[in-house]
Amino acid sequence: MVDFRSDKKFGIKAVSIMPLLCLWFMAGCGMVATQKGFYTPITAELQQGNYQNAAQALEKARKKFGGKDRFVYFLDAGLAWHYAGQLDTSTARLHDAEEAADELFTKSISRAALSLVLNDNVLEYAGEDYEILYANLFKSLNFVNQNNHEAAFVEIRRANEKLNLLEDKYRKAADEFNSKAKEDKGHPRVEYKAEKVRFNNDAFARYLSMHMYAADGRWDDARIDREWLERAFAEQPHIYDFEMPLVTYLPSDRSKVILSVVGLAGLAPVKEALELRIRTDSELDLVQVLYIGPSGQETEYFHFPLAVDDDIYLDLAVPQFVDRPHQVAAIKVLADGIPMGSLHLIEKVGMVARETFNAKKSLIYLRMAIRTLTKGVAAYKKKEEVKDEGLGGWLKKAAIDAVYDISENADLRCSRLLPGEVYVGDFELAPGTYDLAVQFLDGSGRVIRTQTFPQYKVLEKGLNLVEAFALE
Amino acid sequence: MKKGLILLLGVLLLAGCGGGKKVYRLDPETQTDLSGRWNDTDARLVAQEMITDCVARAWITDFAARAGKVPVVTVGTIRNMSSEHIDTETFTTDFERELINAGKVRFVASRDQRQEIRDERFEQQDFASKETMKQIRNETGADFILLGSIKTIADEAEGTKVMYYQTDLEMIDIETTEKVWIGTKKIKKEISKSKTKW
Repeated sequence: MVDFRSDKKFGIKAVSIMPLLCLWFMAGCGMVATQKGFYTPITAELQQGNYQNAAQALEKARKKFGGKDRFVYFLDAGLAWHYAGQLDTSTARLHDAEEAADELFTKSISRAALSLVLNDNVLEYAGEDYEILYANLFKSLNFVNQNNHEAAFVEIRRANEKLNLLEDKYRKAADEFNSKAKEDKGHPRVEYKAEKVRFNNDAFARYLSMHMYAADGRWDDARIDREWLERAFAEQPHIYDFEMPLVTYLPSDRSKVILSVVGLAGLAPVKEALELRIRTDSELDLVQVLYIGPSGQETEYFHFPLAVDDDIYLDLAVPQFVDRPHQVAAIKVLADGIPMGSLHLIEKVGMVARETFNAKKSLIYLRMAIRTLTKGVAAYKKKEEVKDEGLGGWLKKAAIDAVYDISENADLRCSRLLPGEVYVGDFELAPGTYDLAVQFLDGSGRVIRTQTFPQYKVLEKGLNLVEAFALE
Repeated sequence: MKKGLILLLGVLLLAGCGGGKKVYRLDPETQTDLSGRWNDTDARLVAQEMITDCVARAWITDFAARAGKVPVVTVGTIRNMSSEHIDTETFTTDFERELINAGKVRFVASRDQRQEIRDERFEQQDFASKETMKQIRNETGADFILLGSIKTIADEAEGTKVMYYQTDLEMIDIETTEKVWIGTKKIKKEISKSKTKW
């Protein structure tokens, strides 16, 4: 056993090594760094259509999430079991995700204090708003698949309640940051202006709700949801930057009924680290956050005024959403082998994710930049204090750098199993029993996956809704 | 540096601390509000008020005077039109029990229960002895059906949520479709969530 206290040769005291070991340990257990490597085989299983394997693999990885990241586990497990067709398990996990998000509204002061010196990964993850919203939508789909329309409706109402709260929530977050910044004399005075959440109406939620009302014979309510759906597209072109699909809850031929088909394609974007650099300018009293391009060129990302004593460079990693392209280019529906038509895009989950994340992105970036700067300047000064020019001094400086580097990690926690895009189609069919097939085609028109629904009963009264997915 | 490290480890330990599980038995009448969602207390409040109101109204005595018997009621659909998963049977069962025990109303099985009972009766036609076999087409027809709904309105800001529940029950004459009694129970709850914890 090495006794660091008696290691006079290098002049390293245990107290210098201990924080380093603590941080390494914490990084390993996901305390200061987002653990996401174990998702690679899980998403690979999903993309190959091995949904059961993916769900079981996620359950085996339960411990990797720990208590503070339990929301991500519950949501992703709920999604994985949904894809695997184990709807009761899926609903239970998604319910737990919603409960966890609710519990984690209450923020831990001790963790918040730690996050000031470490990073946002030490905070409990309560989920992004779109993730909580989709927990409700997938629970609703579970209930639809189980013919429990009343329960499905409950989830749609819960989703709509959440949408109504979004805007108010983010205005409040900005107010809190500004008031705390004014109270805290030790922190740099930086004013933050709230970015308005431009997402308060979800087209897919309206689509589901519209059909549920129609199945219930509540035509006025169905019409109102249809109007809300149109408004989602008209008022939120930054999210719905594509043509609204033709959807209907009333057949033109009264002897027929509507068969609704929902197609989920690909996987949603995920948070990855964007490497930036902070540059302080003591002459201008300015802090610049720079993006370093592939060829090394620096582009200013943002800046803020701050009185600084030294000119230093620091590395900064911030979360950003990165797309996960999928192969699906078209989705076709066949009934008894006869083509019924194609599905059309109603929601890009990534657009919803980006919009809700963007509302607080600048707040996250600013907080990270200030924390990095505070830690970086402290590390810089600590290294300047090291007088020893020999190996001991070098090791001390390396230890300071390592403590700084390990503690600097972007918070990349997010659901990694949400679908990328949602497609819908409404087809008129005479009531009866059909062998339904949903074909997912790639860009060259090749069928990459077919999901069949043999002997599907299209009811004269009630909800006729089929869900298929290809996550390739 | 040393003090800072000890403080850091202390905070880490505190953050990871958790308590053991404890179980207590409570009086079912105790008011418990943990999550703020619809719970047994709400179901009991709805049942109590509805029972008191329903029994006190004239429809029972009017029917008894007209028909010369106590009314026979079946429980129909109590629709959950709220944003919470609510089991309406928790208060409809209370409702049935109190009215039966008071001797003011007779209840027949609900639609789902009737189907199960009919299946049993049909099986008896084939498998039970003649002495014990129950007759088909000998059910007691209900005079009234109880229908209803639960609706919610939610409002939330800054960690405080206000939930408004409205439960409506209607007693409807099956022959004439006349509504003879309407009961409404409103419950409003404020649920506050702490913004911080240690």
